[in-house]
Amino acid sequence: MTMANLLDFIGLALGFLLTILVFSYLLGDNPFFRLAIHIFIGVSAAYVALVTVNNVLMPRLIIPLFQGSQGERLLSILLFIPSIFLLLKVTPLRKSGNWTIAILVGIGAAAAVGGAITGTLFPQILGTINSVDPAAYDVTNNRWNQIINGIIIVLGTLTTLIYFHFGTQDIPGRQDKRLPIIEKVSQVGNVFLAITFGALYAGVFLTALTALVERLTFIWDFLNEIGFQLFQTF
Amino acid sequence: MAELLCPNCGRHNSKDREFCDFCGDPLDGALQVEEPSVPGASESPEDQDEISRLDSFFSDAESENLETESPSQESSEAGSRLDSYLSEQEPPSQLDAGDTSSRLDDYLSPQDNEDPFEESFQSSVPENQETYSRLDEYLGEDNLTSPPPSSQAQETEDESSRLDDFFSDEIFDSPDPFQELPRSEPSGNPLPENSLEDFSQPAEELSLPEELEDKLNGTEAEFEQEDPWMFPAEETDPAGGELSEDWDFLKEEPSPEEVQSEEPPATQEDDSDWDFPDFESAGEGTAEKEAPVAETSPGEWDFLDPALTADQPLGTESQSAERASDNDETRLDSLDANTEVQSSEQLPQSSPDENDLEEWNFLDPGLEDEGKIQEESPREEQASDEFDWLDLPPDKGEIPLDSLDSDEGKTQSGEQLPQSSSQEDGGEDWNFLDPSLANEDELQDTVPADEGAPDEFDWLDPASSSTPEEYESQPEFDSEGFGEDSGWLDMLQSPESREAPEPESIEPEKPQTDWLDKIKRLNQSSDLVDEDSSFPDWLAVSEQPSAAEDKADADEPHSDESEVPDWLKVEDEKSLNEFLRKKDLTNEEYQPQITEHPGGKQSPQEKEDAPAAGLSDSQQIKFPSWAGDETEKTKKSTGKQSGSVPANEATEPFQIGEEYIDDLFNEELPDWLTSASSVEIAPSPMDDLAQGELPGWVEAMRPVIESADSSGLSEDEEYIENYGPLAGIPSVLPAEAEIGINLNETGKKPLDLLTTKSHQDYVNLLKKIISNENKAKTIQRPAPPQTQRMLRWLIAIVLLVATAGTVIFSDIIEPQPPSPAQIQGTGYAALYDQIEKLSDGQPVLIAYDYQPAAAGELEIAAATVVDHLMEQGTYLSFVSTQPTGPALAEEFLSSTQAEHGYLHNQKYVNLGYLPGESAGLLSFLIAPKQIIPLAFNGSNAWDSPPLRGVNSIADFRMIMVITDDPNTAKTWIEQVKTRLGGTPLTMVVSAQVEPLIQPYFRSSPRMLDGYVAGVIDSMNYEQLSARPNLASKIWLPFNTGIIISVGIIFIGGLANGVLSLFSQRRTKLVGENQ
Repeated sequence: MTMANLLDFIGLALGFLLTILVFSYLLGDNPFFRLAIHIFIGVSAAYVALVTVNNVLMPRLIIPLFQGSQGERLLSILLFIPSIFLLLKVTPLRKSGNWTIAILVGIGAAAAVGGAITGTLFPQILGTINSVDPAAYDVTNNRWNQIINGIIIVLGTLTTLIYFHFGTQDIPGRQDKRLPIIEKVSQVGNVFLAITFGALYAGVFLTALTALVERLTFIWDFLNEIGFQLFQTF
Repeated sequence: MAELLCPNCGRHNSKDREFCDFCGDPLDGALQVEEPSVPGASESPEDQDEISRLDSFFSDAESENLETESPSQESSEAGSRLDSYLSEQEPPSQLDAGDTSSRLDDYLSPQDNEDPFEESFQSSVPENQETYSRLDEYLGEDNLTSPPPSSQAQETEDESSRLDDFFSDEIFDSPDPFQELPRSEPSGNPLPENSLEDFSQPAEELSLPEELEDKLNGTEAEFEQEDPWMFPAEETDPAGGELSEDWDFLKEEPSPEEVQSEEPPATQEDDSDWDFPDFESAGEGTAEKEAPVAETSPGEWDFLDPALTADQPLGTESQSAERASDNDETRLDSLDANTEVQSSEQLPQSSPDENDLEEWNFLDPGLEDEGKIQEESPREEQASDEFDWLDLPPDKGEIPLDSLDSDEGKTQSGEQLPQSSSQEDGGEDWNFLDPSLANEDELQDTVPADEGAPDEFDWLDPASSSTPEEYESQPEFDSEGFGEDSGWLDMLQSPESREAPEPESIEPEKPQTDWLDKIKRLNQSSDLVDEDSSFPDWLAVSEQPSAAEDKADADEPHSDESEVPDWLKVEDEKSLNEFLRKKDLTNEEYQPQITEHPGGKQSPQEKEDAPAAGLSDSQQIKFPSWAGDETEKTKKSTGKQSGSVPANEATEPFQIGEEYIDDLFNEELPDWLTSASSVEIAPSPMDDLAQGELPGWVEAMRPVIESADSSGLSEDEEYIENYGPLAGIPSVLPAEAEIGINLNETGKKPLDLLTTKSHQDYVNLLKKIISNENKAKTIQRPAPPQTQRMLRWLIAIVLLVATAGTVIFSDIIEPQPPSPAQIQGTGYAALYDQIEKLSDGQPVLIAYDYQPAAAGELEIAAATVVDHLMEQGTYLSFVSTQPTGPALAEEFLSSTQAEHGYLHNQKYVNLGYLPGESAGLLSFLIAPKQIIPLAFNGSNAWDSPPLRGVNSIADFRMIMVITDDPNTAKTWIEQVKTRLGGTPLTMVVSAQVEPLIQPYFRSSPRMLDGYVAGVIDSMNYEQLSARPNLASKIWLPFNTGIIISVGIIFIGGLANGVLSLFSQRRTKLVGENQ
């Protein structure tokens, strides 16, 4: 067994062990499961920190500050100052880093909002409209299918939006309640929501089932490899 | 003006007097004498008028308006005593001579003369006899050995007699002058022989007699030598010239010979100052000399008017009498006639009818309603006019010159002269004594006094001294006797003015300081003053100098002494203090004027005024000048109405009740108001009131509540303050914050609002939430049902066994290519088409944005896609917005794509982690090289073949995102797709993300150009690409698991339905049985 194979074996063995520990949750919450979870979280965090230092701070802040050109140094200094204030968030002077957080949140929010408007809101509205526009239909597909799809899309969109309309009319002596037509339409939207959540749940179940199958496959493969190794040894 | 003659002493008293001011006898049934007021009828009536007015001035005006402080009374008494003394000492013939001094004595002491008219006519006897008599009396027998050589000498005697008058004023320096008064005045009994000795005794004590004796000896010698000032024809010293006719030579320009030979340089200056007698010619003066004018005739004062001198009716009196009258005239007119050119120019405007009566109008009590200052000014004038000539000039004889030269008041006085001279009655030249003119300027009143000195008795002026010895000896001579003017002037003057007799500084300020001193004295007596009463400085009229003044004094400790000439210094302070003490003791009215000694000395009177003077300076009201003025006016007006006003009453307007002061001038008031109004009052019981205690009226308002029940109010309904000033008062707003409110009690209070049932339900719900908010809840974990645990184990076992069995015992399924109808419009088919469009060497960016937990699924789903890309020979570049993404990418390549032999920087580049999520992603889209300059391993990524020729994200031929997070998928779509242009954006996503990204793919235009979701799409993609991969490997177990799961769900649902049916049926059966 070469060193590479040994390292692969160790890796597979740890994978197998941790997988068994996670499967132990079928018996309930147990230390093995917690151990596996803690190892997973710890390794992930360490890895994230390592990646951040090696892949972000060093090449983008520290190295340009000491080895970069004058412009890079100036830029690094400009980035270093808010970074210092950001580190102060873990100190009693946490309020001094608020402005750095404000900058980050502000820029992120601005980018997200702009992208949502241009990438999601307008295209979805346009897609909904085009779904019922025969001129926009793909000629390669069945026209009636496209018409039905278009109708379902529009109906689903409208009824879902109406479902989330909770406005009521204030009538003295009567309990506040949405208009009957709104109630009926919202029920249709509720159906679309149920189908959507069902599809999402199905996707989550398929994802989990895929992971289970992948883990069972891994176990089997590990066992086969171990058995193969064992059989080969003996 | 009407006066009352005292039946006892025969003195004149004002008609409103009930008791004689002199003897104290009641004036009931006293004879009322109406004094003639029309002057000019004859010489006698004029004199009588003058005398009467003098009498009224000293008796009525002073006694009426200034009863409490009327030194005029004393002065009049002094004058009467003088006459008494003189009447006793001088022979009647001398008294009948009617010289000026005697007349002045009469004026000053009209009470001495039962009939002032008689005295007015006593002018026939030569004056020099009287003068010499008095000088002899003063100087002793030795001086009497030099009889007057001539009529001029007699006139000199007259002057000497006035010196006697002056020194006779030293009687006030005697131990108790008022004790002597009854002896001499009311009864007219002759004084003891040693009376004059007593008079001269103080002067002797003050070491005056020697100097005076020297001076007088010198004067006598001059008399013997026919001193030029006594004889105008031979005068060489114009400054020393006193007589009008003597001054006439001043009108003429002295011959150079005379000036050079006879006049000293100092007197030469005086010549220029004495240019006022620039009357048209000396000849007129000579004519005037020749004119036999009666002593008291109006015309005798008109000698200054050249136009009138010619018309002046000559009297029948003797030449000496003329000279005597001229003496008076000169003395008086010299006070009026300013040496300045202006005055000299205006003098000729005097009408010829202006006579003595008008000049003596200042003695008219009717004019004394101008105010106290006006009242005092005549006295000062009189003192200065009549006797200030005795005020020897200060050191080195500068004062007369300065006073004549530089005093602005002289100009004013000089301007006043023609105005007064416009009057037609006699005595116009005496207008300088008119109180009506005195109020216009203080200097106007004092200037004549300054002028008089050099006019008449410049022989006392060192400047006029012909010899330096005399010049130097005079200050010492003057320091005692002349420092105090005269006794009756002392009554009018404050000790300050007496001790600081420098004419330039003291006399002009006298009127002001007098009334201020009075105010201060009144304040002292009122016990209302407090220096620390925080009166501002501008309100302070303190006897004590201000801080600045103190400081200045401190800086110049001897300033007072330096200001006072040596000749004015009182060498014998003991005698002076004794004099002051006794004078203050005996004259209560005079006390207010005794304020403070400049040198900080405190007179015995002040010491005795313990209640007032004993008060600290902080207990004295300090009034500003205006306040003091108002006080003075008030006092005057009150004095006019009531005749006498106690000093304390004058301060009543400034008194504030103590009980109000504490309330008013507390901390609430601003400092400026407090300082302005915090008149310190005498200590009151309220002073002990501790700050913070409530006044009595507040305490009285407080209800007496023994308990909450006694008030009839429950504590729940009414809040009763139990602390602070409002303690015990109910229904006040509590000061402390209402924390810890009982929510239950709050919820009990009914709502007065009109609410519906739903609102009430909400209220109830809110109350329930609020009430349960503070309650700790113990959550009992229910024991899991055994069936549920068994079911969970059963499901798990079934699923594991089925899946594991499938994995163990199944083989790789050969994929079947899907039909075109199945792949039409699907994501994997679109992705497949996009990859199929790629060619060898085209850069493709793959984003590994998934968590390690989703690696199993996404690796299976992406394996066939990446394999397809590698099959297409594209350069791959990996990037990740997840920190774990680069590692997963490397692991993905190594585990799934190892057969392609892709090497780092050869066929692919792992750019690593891209921080910033959406912002970072956006920045990467804009400037990828700047954002990620290096590869994940630190190599130069952008020079590697996968990124060669790539300058922007649009240069990639396809962008594929592998993610299990729908938000990450949306971020890529939203941020990248809009900037990619024609570059397709594809995705390999988890099965759970598909419902969320499918609308982007289904929309038109597409925001997502193709995708593969989960194992199913991956299996389809493998089938489409005909390259079995991991999806095919797990497809059977995966499907088994799906079937098992679906079976379980179906079985579970079916079982749940069956159980429900059984439950409903059992319920129905139970109901039927019941």
